[in-house]
Amino acid sequence: MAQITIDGRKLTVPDGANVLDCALENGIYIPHLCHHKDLNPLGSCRMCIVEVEGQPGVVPSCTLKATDGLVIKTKSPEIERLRMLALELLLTGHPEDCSTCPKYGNCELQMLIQYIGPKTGRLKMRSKGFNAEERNPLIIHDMNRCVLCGRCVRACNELRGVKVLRYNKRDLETYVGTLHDKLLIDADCRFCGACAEVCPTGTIRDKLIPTGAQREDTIVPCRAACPAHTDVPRYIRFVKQGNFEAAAAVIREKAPFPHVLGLICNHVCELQCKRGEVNEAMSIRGIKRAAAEQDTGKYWKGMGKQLPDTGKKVCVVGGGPAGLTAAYYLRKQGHAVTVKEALPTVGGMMSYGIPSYRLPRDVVAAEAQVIADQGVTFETNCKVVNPTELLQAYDAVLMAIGTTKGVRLPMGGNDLPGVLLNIDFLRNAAMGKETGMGKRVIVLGGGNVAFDCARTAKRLGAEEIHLACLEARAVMTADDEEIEQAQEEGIHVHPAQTFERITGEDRVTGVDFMNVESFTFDENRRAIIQKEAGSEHHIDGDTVIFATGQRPDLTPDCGLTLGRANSIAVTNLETDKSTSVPGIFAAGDVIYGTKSVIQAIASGREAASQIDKYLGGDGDITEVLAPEQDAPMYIGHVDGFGKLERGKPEVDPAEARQDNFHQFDHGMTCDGVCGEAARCLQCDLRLRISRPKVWGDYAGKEG
Amino acid sequence: MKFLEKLRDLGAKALISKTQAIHIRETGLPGGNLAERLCEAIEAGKTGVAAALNNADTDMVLLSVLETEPENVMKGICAVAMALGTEEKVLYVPENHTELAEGLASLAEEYGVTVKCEFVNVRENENNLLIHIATAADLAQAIEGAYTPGVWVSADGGQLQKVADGTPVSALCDLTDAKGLILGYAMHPVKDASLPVEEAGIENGVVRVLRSTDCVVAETQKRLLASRARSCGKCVFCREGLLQLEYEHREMTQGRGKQEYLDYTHEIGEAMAFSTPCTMGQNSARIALSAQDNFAGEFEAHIKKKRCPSAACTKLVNIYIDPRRCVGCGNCMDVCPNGCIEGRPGYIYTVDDYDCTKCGECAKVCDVGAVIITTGRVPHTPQRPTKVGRFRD
Repeated sequence: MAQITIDGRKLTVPDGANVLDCALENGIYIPHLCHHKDLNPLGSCRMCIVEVEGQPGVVPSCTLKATDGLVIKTKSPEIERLRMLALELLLTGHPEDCSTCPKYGNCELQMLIQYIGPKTGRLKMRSKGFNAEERNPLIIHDMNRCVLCGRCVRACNELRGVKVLRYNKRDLETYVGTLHDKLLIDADCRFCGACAEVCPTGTIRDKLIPTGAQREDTIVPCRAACPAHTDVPRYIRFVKQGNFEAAAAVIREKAPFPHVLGLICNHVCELQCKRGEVNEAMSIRGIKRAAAEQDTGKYWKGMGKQLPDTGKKVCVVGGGPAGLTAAYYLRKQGHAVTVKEALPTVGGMMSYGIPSYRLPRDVVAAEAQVIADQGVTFETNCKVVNPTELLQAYDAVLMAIGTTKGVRLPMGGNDLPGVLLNIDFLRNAAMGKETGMGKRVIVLGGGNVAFDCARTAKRLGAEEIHLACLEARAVMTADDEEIEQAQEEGIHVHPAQTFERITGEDRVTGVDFMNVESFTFDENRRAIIQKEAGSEHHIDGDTVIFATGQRPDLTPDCGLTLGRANSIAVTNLETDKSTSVPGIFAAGDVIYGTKSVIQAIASGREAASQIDKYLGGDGDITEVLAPEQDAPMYIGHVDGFGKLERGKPEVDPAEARQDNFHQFDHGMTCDGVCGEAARCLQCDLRLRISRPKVWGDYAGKEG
Repeated sequence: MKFLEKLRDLGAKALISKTQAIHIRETGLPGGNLAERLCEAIEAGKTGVAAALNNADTDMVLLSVLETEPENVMKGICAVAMALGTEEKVLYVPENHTELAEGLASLAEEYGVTVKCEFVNVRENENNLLIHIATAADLAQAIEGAYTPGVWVSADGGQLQKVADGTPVSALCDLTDAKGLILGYAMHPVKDASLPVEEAGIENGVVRVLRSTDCVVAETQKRLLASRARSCGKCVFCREGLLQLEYEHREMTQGRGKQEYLDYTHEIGEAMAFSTPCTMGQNSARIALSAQDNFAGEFEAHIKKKRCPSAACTKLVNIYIDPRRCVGCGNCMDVCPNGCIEGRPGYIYTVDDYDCTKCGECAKVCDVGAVIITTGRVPHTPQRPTKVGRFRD
């Protein structure tokens, strides 16, 4: 250790330590620009100059190493004169348009100017005359604002090892760019964002600048987009390293259904994936599936949190993803939990809604078994009619009954024999019961459930299947993959149709349609539909399936206050899931309408935490299951990184899959998954880069 | 590879004492005794050797040492490496000399030297002993017993030669019409021609006589521009300081100089010397500082009187055709690139000042010396076509 003295303050610091960092860490501000804690010192900007006792002149403190007895001064008229001169010189090539700069308020240079003082304006100013480079994905390069601190070059080369950014020179102007000024994707940039993170000015900046409370969410959008905030980059990295079990443990930290999600999650994470801006989004779901399939439970089976019994009893009504998730975490908090499920097995829509060719039942059963193994009691074939009565036997009740009633649109012929409802149809099909379907089926609706109906009908032997919906093809809510696969299976898809009437006297004979010219919403969110004149047409069919939404199966006399569309009203959708009856909570589709499994899981987790608090617990259901991860900041150069294509699953051809309920998507191969994981931009690594230390952090804390 | 064997036989210790005995003076910056620098480097634990020209060197006349005796340079690098006990041997060839670098590739491989064709990044070479290419050659000569002490000089653009210590600068060049000297990186008054070469600061081998037709300000600007072109641009003071200095001097040569530019030059130029890590930033302002100190009158003329005493700054001179001397041949009109000379054969030609760039081509072709370039006023010239010999004021 070395004793050093800065402005009269004695500090004990490691021998050879960077004096500037020592000062900054000990509450002494020395202005600096080119220096960044995570990068090798450069000493080029001359802002951090100090005087060393016993030495003539000034030296930069960033390249000064601590030695015992070192005495330095950070302020003197000479230091201030030279700092000012350095800043004046630096600013001669920087535009004077702070107020229109996107980095305004977050610019380190701006703060430096505020600290050192305004320049005199005596020197020759110039515009460097570069064009801002906006053609790259995610990142903008505006070299006119660059003051050549060199942080980005060091971050790209030393910290990341990507070695894309370099100093170039053109017409006497030095600037930061790529070899031969290639676009970033052609230079094999890995889009890690380290350059934008360390840039003190508005030169290299994100197209979407992360600031304030949303900073982390903007930097790692996949994790933010996931309703359960699964740590996507962390498990992808485990998969890349071949540690599938650890990856599964990461997913399990947030959701007890990794395998189910790996197969059918609506993957909103992928929509936000920054890799999508570069070429194609990560196949996050495919990676998750692989992790879950290879998992042996090494990191979580019999491990994780299990608090001692509290003696409190909770009844969860509804054994779908929301209910099961809540039950699982409530059990882990030490409560006795009973799940009451109306149908013969738990799983909810995972067992009776989503067809088994997408989600094999043994997958659901296995993951439900984990919850049973944790000590949750399942009572099946047990429909709860009056939830308030449950409070006599239980300390708290969670209503997670989902939306199990199909919606019959108000139109002529909607109650003819041959008209079916999505939920009933799928449930009957799932249970092997008679569905009432004929040979020529018309499905009304354009969401994933509609396609589940159409494709189930195909597998049940329907000869001709039409699917019609109001939305245009581009804005249909079903996944593109679903639509394309259905078409491959011979299902006729008719977007942009209005349903005029179901025809038939005593049985369905078909549906009358008209073409939609435009479909918009007015300011009151009411649909405005413009029909194409004279476009009436008819499709013959003997069966019509309504797949136009679901509602909770509730009546006003259930004892709970109901909200929009028959939902259970809760105090606050996210933060307070208590209902009108104290002790009864609600979660999942029943409070917000039909959404997704992952949304239900997130809702179940929130409910578990809130119920635990209600029962006297701390409400902390977080747990760490995965082992520590080796996540190197030095990600290195990868040839052609930006052009690596998204991994494709192996899918059986339409002929092989359309007449049976076997799973036909076999996921990516093992190598394919690791390769896919290697495409990840690892946006999360950026969060580990030290934040700049600016004058404002120190103001008022020193003399 | 007899030399390498000889080195091995000699051993590091004997090599260092031999160097000490011979007293090799380092060429370039920082200069000094090579043996002392070797000892310092060993003490500092340097792990490699890199031979290069000084970054500050924009004339690069010393590069001909590498061109004419490349093997000696390689040998010298190997000798220093052996003294340091390292195998890390680098030769820096200036950027833009790719052909030279390529030509040296096989020889360098023979001696285990890595050739880099770039500006020396001093930060990357923190652990290397940087020596001058010419010093490396000298060391090789010394080991072979053929070292001749002296200073490398290329006088007025002539062949590079090693000049024996004690020789005055005046012995190397013609001082007729001299008004100053460029010695190394600085501008000197003529009296400094009496200095012996080893004390004249000829760090880059350059000796140039400035004559009455050379403008000190323009010369300074030219050299500052060359430095700007070579500077890597990473350090604030070198990049931006040079830019300011070059701009200010350019303004002076164009009659837009301001008095305060002289102060700025001093303030920035002096700070550059200690605010940058390599010889480029440390030395490139010396030309401006020394010029202002030694030729204050020329700067004053440019700034206050908007006059270039040597008539070299084209923006500050006027060109006219003396109507009494003009013979009406029209040669001047033929060469004028901007078509701003008017007249016809047998008549007195005149210059249309508006488009004239003062390139001086007309003066070069006038056999009778009628085209006058002056820093003073232009006298009356014919306002309408006037036959040769008919001009009256």
